[in-house]
Amino acid sequence: MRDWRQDLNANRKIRDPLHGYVYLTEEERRIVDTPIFQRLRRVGQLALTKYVYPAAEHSRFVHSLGAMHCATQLFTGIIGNPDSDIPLDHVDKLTNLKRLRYAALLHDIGHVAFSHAAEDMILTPLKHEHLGRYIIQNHAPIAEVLDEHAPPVIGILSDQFLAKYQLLHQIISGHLDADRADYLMRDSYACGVKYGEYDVARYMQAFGATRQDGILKLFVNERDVFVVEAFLMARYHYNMQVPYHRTRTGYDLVLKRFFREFLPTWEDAQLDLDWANGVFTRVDLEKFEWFDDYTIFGHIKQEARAGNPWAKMLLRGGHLCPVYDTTSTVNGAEEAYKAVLEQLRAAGLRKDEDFFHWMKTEQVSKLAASDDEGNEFRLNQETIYVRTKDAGLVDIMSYSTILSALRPVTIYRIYTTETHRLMAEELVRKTCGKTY
Amino acid sequence: MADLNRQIVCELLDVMQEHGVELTKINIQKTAYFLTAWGVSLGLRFRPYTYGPYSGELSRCLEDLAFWDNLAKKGDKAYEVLELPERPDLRLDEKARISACVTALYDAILGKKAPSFDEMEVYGTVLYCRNALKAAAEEDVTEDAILKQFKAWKGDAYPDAKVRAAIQNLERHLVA
Repeated sequence: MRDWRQDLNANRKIRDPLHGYVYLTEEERRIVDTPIFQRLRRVGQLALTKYVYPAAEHSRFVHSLGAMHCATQLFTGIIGNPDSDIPLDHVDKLTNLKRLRYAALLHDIGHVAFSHAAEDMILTPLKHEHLGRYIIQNHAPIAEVLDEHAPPVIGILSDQFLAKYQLLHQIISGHLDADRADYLMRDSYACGVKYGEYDVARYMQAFGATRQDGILKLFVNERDVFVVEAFLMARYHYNMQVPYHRTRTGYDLVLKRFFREFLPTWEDAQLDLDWANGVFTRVDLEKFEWFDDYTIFGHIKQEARAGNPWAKMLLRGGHLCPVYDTTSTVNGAEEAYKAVLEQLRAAGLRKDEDFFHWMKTEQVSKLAASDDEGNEFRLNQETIYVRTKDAGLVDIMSYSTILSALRPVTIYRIYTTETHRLMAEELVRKTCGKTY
Repeated sequence: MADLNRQIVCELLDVMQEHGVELTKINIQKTAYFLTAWGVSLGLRFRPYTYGPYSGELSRCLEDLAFWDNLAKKGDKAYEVLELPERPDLRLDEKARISACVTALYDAILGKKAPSFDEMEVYGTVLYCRNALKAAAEEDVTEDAILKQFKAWKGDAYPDAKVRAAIQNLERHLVA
């Protein structure tokens, strides 16, 4: 691909600690300057992870810019790969790139304050992606800039997308996508950890795409397999050490407990939502523009002053006590987890008041789950292929001895309030023969 | 408000079992995907996966229900209802839609309680392609357009005649 910046007139630039400069077109700048996009400056990327890693204060605003940059790098890398076979002329490439960049820039526009913890309460049964689509479709300041590109941008971001958008959709939210490509590096950088790092420059140039029997296939050349392995391992280690850090998950539980009691009473969190057939049909976007992490911290401070213990914890004035923390790699972990919870209940402790529990299964790659429904071996539509030296395509999960050997790991955690810690630790010791 | 999606899934599982439909993973996945076509706002994300539309979130929800003994596993491809949690936030009209969807899918569209694995894959994928065309609003939702989409995902895995029959059958029963 020729110089895309020149072709798209991407002459605006924003300094970024990871990518150097992120370039913007005039239309993209207009989107970035809308109040609803600027709101993302006030929605943290990692919620209360900053109580573990103090510098994790970055926002979804800067991540959205970074995701657009990474999407561009991945797309130009695929198009420029000499082994790619994508029948697009120059105009088609530019149109696709323009739409891809809009989609990447706007992929998080529907995130509510504190992201996932509040989303489960405010948007249920729908998700921030549904709200994002509603905004792109109905919020005039953005819809007017996107103009004719709005339907394809929604098509790229939607889970129900046309086959012609498969490549662009994979770049935005596939297994090896621009979203993760940016947040792994950005979050690691902000947290000061090395777990999410990978070889960015090589990763962006590692992929190609071709069609076989009419089906699009994304591939890496044999020599680049380790780049993908490293990326997936980085994601796994990052998840285990950053979002699933036991102190952070403890704060997520406190936040949910706090929301359960207070969120329904906050007028500024009532977004006048309505939905039908799996899409939002009404949202008060003026209220949404004002609803951010600052709004919630305002409520937390107010309740903390009034003496609410959960609110005080959320100002880092205490935390839940982890009394059981192990993984499925330990024999009997699942049984002990259930037994301890049963004993806590039997001892009169109240779930989500006196004790809390958290369980999560983590896979290095979701590609491993492709045969969940059926017995017959069939390739996942979204798999990544390895292009061998004789130009054959082999499923990466079969090719890579590292990826095929990795099994899912489940984390089991039980927390109590400080008041019940000693009693719970004694129960754990009796059940497991040791404390965790 | 509690997680409505989990409550919708529990209601669906109860209705399917009462209706005599085996709770295989493919039956659950595809029936859940059909719910939206009956006006149920299930917010789980479905992607065009190995055997048609598939939700990893739904799969995790089922595993979680099995972990807490609400479901029993029958091998590694099916479940059986033991005792599912209450659904206090699910409205009556939503329950009626779930029931109507299961009845329509198994009695009218498929015409049997025990459809084959391939039938579920074909019908699920046809509905996915139809929904994608409607959502994109870029071209008419015709039989040829749906077939073209189907082949872009599945190649020649299924004969055109079988796919066309499924498209026509669905069109007769879907309201919108």
